[in-house]
Amino acid sequence: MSGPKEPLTRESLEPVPIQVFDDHMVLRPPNRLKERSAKRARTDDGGDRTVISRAENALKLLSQEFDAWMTKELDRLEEARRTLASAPSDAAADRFYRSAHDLRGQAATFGFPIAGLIADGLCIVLERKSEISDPTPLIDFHVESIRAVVRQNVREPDDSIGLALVDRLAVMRERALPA
Amino acid sequence: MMRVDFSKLRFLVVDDNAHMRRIVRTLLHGFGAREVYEAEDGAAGLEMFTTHLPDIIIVDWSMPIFDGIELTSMIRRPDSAVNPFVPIIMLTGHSEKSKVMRARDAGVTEFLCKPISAKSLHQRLLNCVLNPRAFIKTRDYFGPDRRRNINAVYAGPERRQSETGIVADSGSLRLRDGAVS
Repeated sequence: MSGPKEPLTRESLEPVPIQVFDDHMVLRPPNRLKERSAKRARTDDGGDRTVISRAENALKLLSQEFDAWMTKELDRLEEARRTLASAPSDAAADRFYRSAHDLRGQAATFGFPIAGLIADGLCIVLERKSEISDPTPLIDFHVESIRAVVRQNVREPDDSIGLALVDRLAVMRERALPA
Repeated sequence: MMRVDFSKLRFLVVDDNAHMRRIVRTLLHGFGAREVYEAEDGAAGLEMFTTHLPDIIIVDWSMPIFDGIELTSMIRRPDSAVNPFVPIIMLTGHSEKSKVMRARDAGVTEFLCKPISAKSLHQRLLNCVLNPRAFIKTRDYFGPDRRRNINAVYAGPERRQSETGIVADSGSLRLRDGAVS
């Protein structure tokens, strides 16, 4: 891999003023990032809103791939679930949890906010599964629910059937988990 | 009013999920960034941190080998030969207060919950560049000042002790040789 073009001289490589107190020190490294990158705004450059909307447009172009990505993430979740069921291990459990955790964070970006909410509930179950006598049905129900909302193309965050499913799963978790 | 030219900054994105790395990279390029490096786990992230000296790191919490918290702790070593003050933005699906506090105590600069948006990432980056906090070193903490805001009406006891002197950090001078060699 080729290295960066600029010389590797960065702002940490210089003395840092330190105030010493009885139980702590305060260090104030010079703000070279600001010196290097900040400039006075012009009145005609559209401001930060232009910068943000340019990034939003770039993300919108990328979003053409989101459906395929969502399918891949969901396949990965189900594969991890199958692996954990057939050959339980800490590594398999960790893979399954990370897959659920990724969906929790990404589903809304991919256009499936309800699936993200269900994945959030799945993460809660996985984090507390030792407190549940038989967590398998509850886990499976969450995974199947995520698949269902994607299959049914439930994309609106206020979809009434989707939210009813989220509520139903929350009630099931409440019943299964001690307060 | 200040504007940040992101083309002048070097970024490192550490996330085990390729889709999320692509999203963050897309947003950074949209802001105008040109130098964006990627690593897919904490170990690779640490290596790229030492070889590429990024100006800002965006790191996921949950990763194999070692996670974003462990990576942050490894970077935030006051005697480190590489920049221990580098801004670290923790990007995560964890939004519980306990997790935020844990990230803060590891020395994370900014915390950004998924789902990510252009506006939220842009705001965190501006904070890192335009409003950096001083660093605090205690017996068990080294990182950005965890008191983000000064409370002018705080009437309780001062928990930190009085100032005893101002000195220059002799240790930071040796950073140059270690980092540039």
